[in-house]
Amino acid sequence: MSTNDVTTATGNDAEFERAPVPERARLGFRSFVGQYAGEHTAGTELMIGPLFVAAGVGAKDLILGLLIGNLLAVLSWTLITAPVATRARLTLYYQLEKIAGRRFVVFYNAINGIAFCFLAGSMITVSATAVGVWFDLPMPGLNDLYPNSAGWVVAVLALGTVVAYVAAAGYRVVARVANVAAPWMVMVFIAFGLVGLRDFADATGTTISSLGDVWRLADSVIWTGGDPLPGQVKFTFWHVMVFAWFCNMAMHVGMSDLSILRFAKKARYGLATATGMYLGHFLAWISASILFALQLHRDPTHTDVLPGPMAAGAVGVVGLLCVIVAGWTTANPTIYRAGLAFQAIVPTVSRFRVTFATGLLCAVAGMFPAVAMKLLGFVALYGLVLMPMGAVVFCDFWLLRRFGLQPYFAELSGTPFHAAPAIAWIATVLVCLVAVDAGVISLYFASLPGWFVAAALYLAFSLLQQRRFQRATGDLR
Amino acid sequence: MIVIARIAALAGLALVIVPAGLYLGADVGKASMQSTMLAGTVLWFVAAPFWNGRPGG
Repeated sequence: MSTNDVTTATGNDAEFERAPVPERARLGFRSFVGQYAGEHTAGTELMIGPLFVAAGVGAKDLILGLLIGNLLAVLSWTLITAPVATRARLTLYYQLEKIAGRRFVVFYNAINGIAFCFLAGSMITVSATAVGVWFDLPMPGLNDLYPNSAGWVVAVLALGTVVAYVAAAGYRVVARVANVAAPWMVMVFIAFGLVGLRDFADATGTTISSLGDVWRLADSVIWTGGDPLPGQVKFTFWHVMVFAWFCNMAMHVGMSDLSILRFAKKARYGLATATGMYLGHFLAWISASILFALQLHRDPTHTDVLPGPMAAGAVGVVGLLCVIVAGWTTANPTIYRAGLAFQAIVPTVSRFRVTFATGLLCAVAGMFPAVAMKLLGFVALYGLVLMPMGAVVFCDFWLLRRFGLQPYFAELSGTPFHAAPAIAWIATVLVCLVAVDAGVISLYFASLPGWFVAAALYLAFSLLQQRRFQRATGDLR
Repeated sequence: MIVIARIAALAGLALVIVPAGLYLGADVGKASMQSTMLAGTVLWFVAAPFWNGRPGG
C-alpha cells in the first residue's frame, strides 16, 4: 500500500495547486525513485504479506503473480498516469474541477477522505501491535471485527491521538522523519525475510546452500498453496497478480498520482514507481509473509496477524521500531490528506482542527481490527471506488475531442456540477458492487471491467449532455 | 561534513542488513545480530539527517 505526498517529493508545498507546474519546478528521475521507494514500504505491507499466506497462496503463484502484477502497475503509472500528468501538469483535484465542477470535487473529496481515514486507521492498528508487545496487551485475532480488550482500545487511542496531533501540528517534521527512515525501513523489511528464512530452515531441519534450497523450502513449507485459513478468500495466481496490479489503483489508473507525476520532466519517469513496487510490494510483502508462515508452522492454531510480535520475534527491538515508524510515518500524510479533503467541505474551520478531528476519527477506526484484518478486501474496494474518476480523466484528456466533444466541460460551461462524470462514477461503482454481491465477479477483479464501464458511461453521457447544451446555447464557444 | 555523514549513514545501513545476511548463513547468532542491527539503526538515524534529510533529498 502506499501514501503519496507531493510536498515531501518537491518541496513545493501549496505551489501550483491551481496552475500547471512550470519548467523551473520540474524534477529529475532520481526524485521519483526515492519518493516511490519510501512510499510503498509502509506499515500496511506488514499486514498484506501475511494475508497472502492466510489466503492459502502457493509459492509459484505468489512469486509470478507479484512479478507480473507489479510490472502491470508500473506500466499503468508510466503509460496511463504519467502521459496525462506531464502534458496537463495539474493536480487531480484541479483537473477534476475543470471536468466535473467544484461541487463535484467537494463530494469526491468527502469519499476520498473517508477512504483515507480507514487506511490511516489500519496503519495505526499496525503500529499499535508493536506497542502491545511492550505493554503485553491482549491483541485482536485474524477474524476479530471489534476491539477485544480495554488495553487495546487505550493503546490505539493513545497512539492515534499522538499521531493525530502531529499530523495537525507538526506534519513537516514527520515528512522529514519519513524521508530519513525510508532506506532504513527497506533494509529492515529485507532483514525480516532473511531472518525468517533462517528460522524456517532451523524449524524444518533444512539446509540452505543454494537458491534451489530456498525455492524448495518456499514451495514445500512456506507457501504451500493449501486451503485458506477460516474466513479468508482462497488466492490463486490471478488473485495475486490482479491484487498487486490494482493495490494502488487509486494512484495510477485512478489518477491520484497526477499530483506527483506532474512534476516529472518526462512521462517515462513513471518507471521510477518500479522501486516502490519491487521493494515494497515484492520484497516487503514476501518478507512479511515468511514471518507469518513461520508463526503458523510453529503453531498452526496461532493465526493472528500481528506485525509487532512477528517483527520482534525476528529482529528484536529494531523490528518493533520499524513497525511503529512504518505505521506512523505513513498514517501521518494519509491523515493530513484526509484532513485537507474534509476541509474543502468545511472551509471556515481551521486546518488544525479539521486534521486533528480527522486523526481522532482514524484512531477510532483503528480500534476496530476489521479494517486491518480485512485489508486485502478493503484495498480492493478502495481502488474500485476511486477508479472510475481515473477513467473519466483519461477519456476527457485523450478521447473527447476525437468524438467531437469538448474536454474540461464544467470549466467551459461554467457549471459547478457536471452530471456526466458523476453518473459515470456512481453508476460504475453500483454496477460493480451489485455484480460482486451477486457473485458474478470477485471484488478483486471487478475494477478491470469497471474501468471500461466508467469510460463508456462518461463518453455516452458527455455526448448527450454536450449536444443538449449545444442546442440550448448555439455552441460551446 | 556531508561526506562523513554519508559514510556513517551507509555504515549504519550496512550494520542493519549485513548481520541479517550473516544470520541466514548461520554465521552469527540471533542475539548478536539483533544488537548489531540496533547499533546500525542508531548510527543511521544520527547520520542520515545530515545527508538526506533535506526536502526532496
